[in-house]
Amino acid sequence: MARKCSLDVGLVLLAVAAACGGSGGGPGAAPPSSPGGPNPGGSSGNPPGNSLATTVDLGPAALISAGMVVANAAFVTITVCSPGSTTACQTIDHVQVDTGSTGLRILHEVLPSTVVPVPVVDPGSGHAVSECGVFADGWTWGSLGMVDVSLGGRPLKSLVVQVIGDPASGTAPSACSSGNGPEEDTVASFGANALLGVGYYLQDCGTYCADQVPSSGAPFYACSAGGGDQGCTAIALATSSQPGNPVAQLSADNNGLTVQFPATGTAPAASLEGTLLFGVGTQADNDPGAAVFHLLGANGNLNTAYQGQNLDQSVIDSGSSGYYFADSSITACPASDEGNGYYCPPTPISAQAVISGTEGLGAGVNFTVGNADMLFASDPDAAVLPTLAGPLGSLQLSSRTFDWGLPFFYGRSVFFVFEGRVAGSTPGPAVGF
Amino acid sequence: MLVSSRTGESFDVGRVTTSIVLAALVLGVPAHASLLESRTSVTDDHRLLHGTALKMTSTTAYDVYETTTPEGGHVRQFVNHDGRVFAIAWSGRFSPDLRQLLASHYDQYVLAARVHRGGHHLLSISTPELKLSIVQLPRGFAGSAHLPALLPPGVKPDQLD
Repeated sequence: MARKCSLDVGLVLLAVAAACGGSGGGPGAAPPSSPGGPNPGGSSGNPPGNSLATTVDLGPAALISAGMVVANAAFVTITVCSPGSTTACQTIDHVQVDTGSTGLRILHEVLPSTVVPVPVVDPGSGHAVSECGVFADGWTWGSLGMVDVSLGGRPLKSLVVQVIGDPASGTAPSACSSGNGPEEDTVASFGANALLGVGYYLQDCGTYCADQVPSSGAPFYACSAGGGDQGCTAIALATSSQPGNPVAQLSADNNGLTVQFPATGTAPAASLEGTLLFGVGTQADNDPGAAVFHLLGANGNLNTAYQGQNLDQSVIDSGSSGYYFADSSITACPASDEGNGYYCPPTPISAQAVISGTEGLGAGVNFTVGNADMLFASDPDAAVLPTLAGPLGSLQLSSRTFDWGLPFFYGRSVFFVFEGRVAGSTPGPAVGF
Repeated sequence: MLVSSRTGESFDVGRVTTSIVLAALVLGVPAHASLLESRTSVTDDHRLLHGTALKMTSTTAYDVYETTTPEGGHVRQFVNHDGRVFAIAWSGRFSPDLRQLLASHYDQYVLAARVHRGGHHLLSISTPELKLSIVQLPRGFAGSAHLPALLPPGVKPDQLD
């Protein structure tokens, strides 16, 4: 069921038109024209197939038609095909770019019946494998399957992806559905047509889940027909069968990812065009130049020094909508307002922090905390809110995080180096800016 | 059952947990518990989290029970002098069963998560009744929740770790 791409949705957006105008070429087709966005790093053009245009807009049509929008979410358009086919393909818009997770997850409802993933099978039982994808705000359930994917004209053969909400995966076992919050198995509840997890790691769980089955929170299950507690058994799964980092599996420019957005100023805007560049320091256009690299801790964590405190569980996450951190001196929005969950200072606050990794090199960052109620009210159709920020943490343990969401990326080139790979002399996992 | 010495020292009670849980079951103590629930819920959680060690530390204002999971994660439960769990903090590679830990406040988390549009890797609730925050790192989870009304006098949430 191909999503209807038209301009007659309630909110007419140039960004929607741009996203729907993406190339429909399959992996075997010539590289689509990928104009890229404004390039803050320089004026040179990108080599063909090295880049993927990104758009920050209000989200997929199915979300908007359900009466919801997102802010500060970056989307790309990809093409997915049945393995080996150049005709059984679907172009999928509004694939959210997420540097905070690993693996491509596609909502079943946006895949036409002609695109048929090849199921991942558990060698022990012979049963198909499904994944329980747990997030901080809910869970997904769906089969693991292999598809061919085109990222800006670059082919990926037999990439393992999660098909979220796949009816073939049956009922989620209660260990997945009972204690992980709400189910997010539709576009309207998930907020995107697919999630492109291109964080620092090569697989979504990695060797840990290849060697053992976690006692709680296990992601992988082998299920007989119908699934559920009767049909599903939590299993260990080889890394090659886990959802993998798509960019790390490219044949070249696979040591990392460069995320670029032009500067925005502080005012809300309808949309913003940026660029994903495959690789770090592998081409002229992804040269990190003088960027300082920070090495991650064991949890994928960085350190942020803010207001005299070291927040040692910090992240740079394109999948978060704002700057999230604890500061009791900043007024939170009233719970009854649209800005509930964000900060609402009477006037914008200019703030500073210093990001570092285990290498200990600090990089200063200036940012602005706006009033979320005013931001949302000033332009309901604005998807780009550069000063959106919110509180985090009630006890000391969870206030050890500063979450640098998508606004951090505006006006920057951010370089992500994958685990086990190097960029120049920098070993991954690492991030530079 | 788990009597606090209130000396500020901690001691390992993991070895006696099994008998405590059995006693609780025999006595008909509810098997689900946690935030806002009674002290006995701590041992239920310890069992359901497949805890490998249960350690208690006491301060003058509250007791802290820390369960270590087989994956090396930690769940800390803060119990006030009335024997009520007034705060919980957790961290680890995988997310614990939040229905178990949040107990009667789980539905509030579900409702907040359903309307949340800030991204999949964080969730925050701030109501007069409940403060909750969950962060998902690339390789782990960290979360906490507390009930302001049950905080012991003089205890500030940012002192709890």
